[in-house]
This record gives sequence, C-alpha cells and structure tokens, in this order.
Amino acid sequence: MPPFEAIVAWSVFAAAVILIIWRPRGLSEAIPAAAGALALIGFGIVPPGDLLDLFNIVGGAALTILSTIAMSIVMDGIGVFRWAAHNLVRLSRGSGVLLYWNVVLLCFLMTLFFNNDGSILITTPILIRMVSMLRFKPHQKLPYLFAGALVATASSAPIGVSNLANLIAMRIVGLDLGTYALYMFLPSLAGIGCIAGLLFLMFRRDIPRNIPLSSHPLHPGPPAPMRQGYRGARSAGKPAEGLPVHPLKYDTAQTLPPEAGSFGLIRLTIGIVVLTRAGFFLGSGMGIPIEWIGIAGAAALVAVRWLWLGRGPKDLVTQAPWHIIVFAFGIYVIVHAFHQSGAVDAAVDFLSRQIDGDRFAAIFWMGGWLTLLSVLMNNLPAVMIGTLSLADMQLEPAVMQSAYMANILGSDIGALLVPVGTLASLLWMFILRSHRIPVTWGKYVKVAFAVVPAGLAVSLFTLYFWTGLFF
Amino acid sequence: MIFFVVMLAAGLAFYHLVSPGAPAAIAGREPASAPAFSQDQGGLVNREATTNASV
Repeated sequence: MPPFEAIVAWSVFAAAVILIIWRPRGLSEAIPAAAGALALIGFGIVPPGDLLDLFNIVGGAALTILSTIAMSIVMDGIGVFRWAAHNLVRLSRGSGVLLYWNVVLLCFLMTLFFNNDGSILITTPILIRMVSMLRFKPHQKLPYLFAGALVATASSAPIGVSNLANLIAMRIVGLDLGTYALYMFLPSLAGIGCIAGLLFLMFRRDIPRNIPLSSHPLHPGPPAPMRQGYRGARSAGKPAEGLPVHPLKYDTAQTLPPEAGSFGLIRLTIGIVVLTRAGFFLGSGMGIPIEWIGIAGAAALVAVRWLWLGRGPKDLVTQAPWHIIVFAFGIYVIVHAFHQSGAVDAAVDFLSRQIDGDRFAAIFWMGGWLTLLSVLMNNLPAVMIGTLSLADMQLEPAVMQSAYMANILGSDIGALLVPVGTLASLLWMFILRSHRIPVTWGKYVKVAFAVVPAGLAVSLFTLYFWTGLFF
Repeated sequence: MIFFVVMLAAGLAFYHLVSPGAPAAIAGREPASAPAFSQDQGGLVNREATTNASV
C-alpha cells in the first residue's frame, strides 16, 4: 500500500478506535465505524469489489448477535428476569458465600444463553438491586459486582456465539461452531473458574457470611427500567447525564405487570431460548447457517408473545439495535484496511519467528499479543487484526488452530485487564456510575491485575494440554 | 451433538436460577425463608425481623 494510503488507513483506524471507546456526547459506535469505512472507500483504499466479501464475513455474525439481543428484549419485556434477584437470594439459603457462587453461575449462564454485552446490561442492574436490598456496605457489594462483570464478560469465550468478535473471527478462519466449542469450552471454563476463585479469595473478608432473610411474601421486583442500562437509569431518575451510548445497547420493551408474565409463558420462553442456543450446535453440524437458527428462535419467541399476550413485533422493529450490522461491517472494513497497510507486519514477522511451528509458543505468544492489542485498542478490532495476522503466518493447521484459540482467550479474558479492553467492561463501569456506585478505573485495574493474568495463564495452559489430545 | 446436550443441561440450571421457584410463591405460600423484595431499593422490608444480618 502506498505511504499516503497507509497513513490514511492508520489515521482512520486510530480515530475510529478512539471515538468508539470515548463515545463523546453519547455518540453511537456505528457512526465512527461507518464514517471511517466510507472514508476508506472514498479514498479508494478499500476497493468496492472487496465489500461483498467483507460483508459476507460480518453479516451473519451481526445477524446472529442481533437475533440474540432481540430474544433478550422479548424476555426482559415479559418479565422473565424480574425473578432473578429474588431467586439468587432464595437459593443462597442465607449464605453470602453461596450467594457469591450463585451470582457467578447466573452471569456465566446469561452470557452463555445471550451475549456478553446483553448479559452485563441485564445482570448488572439485577445485582445492584440485590446488594442494595440486602443493605450491603459498599465494600461488601464489590465481590458480587466484580464477579458479575468479569465472569459475564469472560464467559463469551466457551461457545463462540456469545460475542460478535468471536463470531467474526470464526468466519475469518472458517471454523465451525462444534469444533470451536470442543477446543475452547474446557480451557475457557478453567480460566473463568480461576478468575472466580481468585476473586473469592481476594474478597473473602468482604463477603458477608450471612445474608438477611425475611418472612414476608416475595415480590418479583421492580419493572424493567431498573434493567435498562443508560436509558433505563435516566428514565428512573438516576444520574445518567453524559453517558455514552453502546452499540449493542437496546431499550427494553415496556414491562408487563407481574400477572401478565405467567409461569407458563416464562417456562416456554426459557425453553425456546435454550433450544435455540442448543440448536446452534445441532444445526451448524448439518450445515445450517447459525444466523438462520438465531432468527428462527427470535421469531418463535415473538410469535409466542404475540399469541399469548397479543403484543406484536412492533417494539422489536423500533428498538432492536439494527446499527450493529453497520457497526460490525464498518469496523471490519477499517481493520481490513489497517491490516492491508502493513501496520502489523513487523509484529507478525516477530511472532512467526517466536512461534516457529511450536504449538506451546503459538498459544502463549498469541494469547499475550492479543491481550496487549486488546488493552491498547479494545478487543473487537484486536481480535480481527490478530485473526487476519494469523493467516499471514503460514502456520501448520494444528499450530494455526491453537494460535487462533489463544487469540480468542487473549481477547476475551486477557482484555479484562483494563475497562477499555472490552465494550462490556466499559458498559459495566457506566452502569455502576449511573447507580452512584464508585468504582474507579484504578480500582478496576487493581482487581483485574490480581485475577486476570492467572485466569488467562490457566486457560492457555489448559488449551495447550486439552488440544494436545486432538492434534 | 455433545454440546447440544451440554446446552440443554445448562438450560436447566438457567431455568432454575431465573424462573420463579413455584407458582405457590405468587399466592404467598412461599416458605418462611423467602426474602421480601419491594418495589423500591430501600432494603428488605421489615429488616428488623432478621437476626443474622451481616451489616
């Protein structure tokens, strides 16, 4: 690429990344991503002929995430999650320690069945409400909130469909869902378990031994605005002034009164979500594109709600974050141009020499490299760059696949070192701020540095030994 | 296929965590250990009734 074009590609990349992380005046990430892509196309740096290929890679991934978010909108609107805070306490039987592990389990499962950003958006307000109602002191709230954030975000690694970046990376290397999960489920689980365990040890003195119980009849909890993220906080009268807008953010549909969210409907909707998620693995094994399965699941959920409650899909049409498609496509065009400009060629040469056909070296170098990239520029562009770079390294298939998995671990777990590493972590910080819970970047980094490196190392070691059984 | 089964098993755990414990709860027949969550965030109702509060 000529020097002028390379400089333009680098500048557009830098400007887009800064604006996406900074989000001045609540600017949607889709805007800098789209503007940057248009600039690159306008300058002729990305030929129009490449656009269809690029869209084919990100289009399906964006639709899959979009369908997942649509499902979470419907479920939250029905009132499914209104019971979660109560259930967490009920199932903990008066033990703060059991409550901690129930929180870990809930956040893990929420990301497994939805996506990382959706999980943060839904569970963080639930946890805030829970610790507030239990009247925990500020230091007692932290174990639950940190565990929720770190576990929910890291839990996008095990199955590959819980994270937009993972889905795009999977398409780039042409990996199917079943193979991804086979290699990644166990190593990711080991890393997540390590992080949750270390957080528990770190905060063991802050976790209350007993939690209060009452003999009063239960109430399912407040309506959806408590769980709506920025806009919900604003509508609930919370200070949300100046908070930026997340690309995966959505408005929750108007929540129905408790009696409308009947038990049968709740069971049915959870069943549809679980079957859709499980169906990804069955369908992809038969060659069915996963976005079709996701769309079918979302359509089934909307149809059930329509038949049961008489509410059509209008709210989804107006509230679903359609701009995710623009955002994913725009950022991929920008990263493609950045990669084509040779910006990371020196790093690729260096890494190729270090890896030198060795699987262990590939796993640790790429896991570390992606962690560094994610910390510097956020994990979405980082994992795209890392995956595109892998294609340049001419590695053997076994080394290549191991390195790709390490990429994902670096971008999903290593990226948790700083809030800017993942959009979900940033989202978590903003939700906490909107609820007047002071967690500074310094506090976050202090906690993250105590648990994330060990979690990443455990997951990378497990990846090495586990995938050694297959290669 | 194995992950189809894994996801179904995880789905059961998910249902256990997010769904109401039993329809009886709605009718106020929840066991005495059930916490009382009111619409506001002001804390557990009738908190003074608790004996093992950690704060």
